[in-house]
Amino acid sequence: MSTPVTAGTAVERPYEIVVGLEVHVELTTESKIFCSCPTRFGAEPNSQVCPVCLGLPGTLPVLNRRALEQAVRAALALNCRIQPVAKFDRKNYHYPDLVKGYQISQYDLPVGYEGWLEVGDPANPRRIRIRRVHLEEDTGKSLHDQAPGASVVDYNRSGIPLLEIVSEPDIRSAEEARDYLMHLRQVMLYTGVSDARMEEGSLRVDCNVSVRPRGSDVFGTITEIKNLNSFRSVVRAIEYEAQRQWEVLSAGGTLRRETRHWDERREVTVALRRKEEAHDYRYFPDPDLLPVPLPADWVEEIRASLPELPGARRRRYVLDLDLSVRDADTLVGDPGLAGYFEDLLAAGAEARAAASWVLTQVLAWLNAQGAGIDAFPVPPARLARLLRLVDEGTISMTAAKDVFEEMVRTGAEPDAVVEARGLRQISDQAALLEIVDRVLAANPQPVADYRAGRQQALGFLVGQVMKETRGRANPQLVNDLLRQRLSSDG
Amino acid sequence: MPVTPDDVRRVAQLASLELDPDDETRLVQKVQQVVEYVDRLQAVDTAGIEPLAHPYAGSSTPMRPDTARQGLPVDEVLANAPDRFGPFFRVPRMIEEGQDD
Ligand SMILES: [Zn+2]
Repeated sequence: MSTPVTAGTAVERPYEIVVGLEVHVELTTESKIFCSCPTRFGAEPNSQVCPVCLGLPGTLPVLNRRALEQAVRAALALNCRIQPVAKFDRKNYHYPDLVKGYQISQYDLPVGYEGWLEVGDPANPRRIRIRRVHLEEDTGKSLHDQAPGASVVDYNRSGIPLLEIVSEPDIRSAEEARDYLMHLRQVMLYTGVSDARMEEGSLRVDCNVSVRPRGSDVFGTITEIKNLNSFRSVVRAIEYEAQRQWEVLSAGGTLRRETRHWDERREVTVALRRKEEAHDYRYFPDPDLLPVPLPADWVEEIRASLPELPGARRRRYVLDLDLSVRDADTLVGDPGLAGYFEDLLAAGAEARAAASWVLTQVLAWLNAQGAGIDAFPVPPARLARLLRLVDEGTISMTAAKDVFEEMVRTGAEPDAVVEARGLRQISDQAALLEIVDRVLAANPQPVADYRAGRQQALGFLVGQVMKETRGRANPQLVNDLLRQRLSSDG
Repeated sequence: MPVTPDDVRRVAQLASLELDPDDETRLVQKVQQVVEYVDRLQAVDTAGIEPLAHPYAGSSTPMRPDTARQGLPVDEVLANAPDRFGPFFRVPRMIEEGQDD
């Protein structure tokens, strides 16, 4: 009962893929990391900038306390150790979207380090180590299709707080990379640190990819694929790049350590033009910012305020509640839905039945309405009551679905609907036996067929009883009674 | 450690500075002096001394609450821009992609 973490094709490959991921997530602060400009997405170009985030001379950065707190929160949720004193450094390079000629980032004393995130089957998870989690400011955004023959820059993004999460090269397939990203994204959502919307660029991924012969423990030459903006692109780009590297090596060629771009349309990676100079960011401590102590008691306060994290929840759903990995993933992946499921459990519903209802009936309604769980009109306690009516055999599953429809439509209590529509299941053996005998008498041919060994005739007879009772007969009981009657007297 | 003209040219390039040959000769000497000064500092025995990230030892960085305030009007933002295109800064075309080989 496990979803394989590695792609099926991995087995046939002569090589192993080695991947490390650098993920940038945008924090959910109201204001930027070092100035008070708003962080709202989609504003008019250059409408959310000030002298600080434009890098004008004479300005000084002042750290946003909430951004720091969110960084610690995320680092803790990723099982990191927290630096007692963090500091900010300057990463120096020149690019039009970088206003000051340096980016304020963290070099040797990041907020968090030595963490991990579990992926794969909760019964047998793989632990991907996290090297570091650090805070930095985002750059502006360059656009190349606005002005003819030129590029243009919008600095609204300049100074938006980012968290960079760097994994160790522990990922062994494109699928595992996706799995890691899915779990990382869930951690961001559960902790409220980021809304992690890839389509809005609030979660961006750089992949470091290399290959090596299966069984080798030596690392190959790494290429970096920059700025992937969907899980699908990540998977395709890693698959493509690994295959390309292996073909170069198999043909006796050598690989260059280089940065490559994923061409979404052609589905290939392309080398970025190599700059004359090697990258040399000449990091040094930013003299505009003093060291940032992260006192242990404050850190522990933040740790205590963490909710149940997606990894723990997933483990509990699979190992304790016996849900399938797939169902657990769907629930955990939607915190609202998972919350509703938790409320059902609290109201006494049996876990597997509750998961099944949430993931079929409830989800179908939400999808049809294009609504979130907040808009779902049936309170958990009321749905739990309906589940109980099924569990106790008071109504059939078929009837329960009708009751559910009505509850959603009218907000009625399940018991009231059952009574009003006479849906109470007939579990009275004597009453059912009478109907069974009537059906057997009226259908001599199917009875003969069944006795001649044609099992499917039983289905027809069950159907007849259900019809007689307008669907209210307990199907299991009908089955038992029919078999009993058909085998006893010939 | 002797500083070479190559070192100076590399640092200049990283800093996006254009140097003429006279500048280069002069800067080789200047940078040599700085490096020698640092060499002297390196000779100091710092074993057992806490690394110092900032001269204001003991103080910590001031912080601000997370409240947003509207920035500058776009015309003021672009007032000093050498070139603009509507609400954008216009810059020389940046071509990122090269040919695969
Ligand atoms: Zn600003």
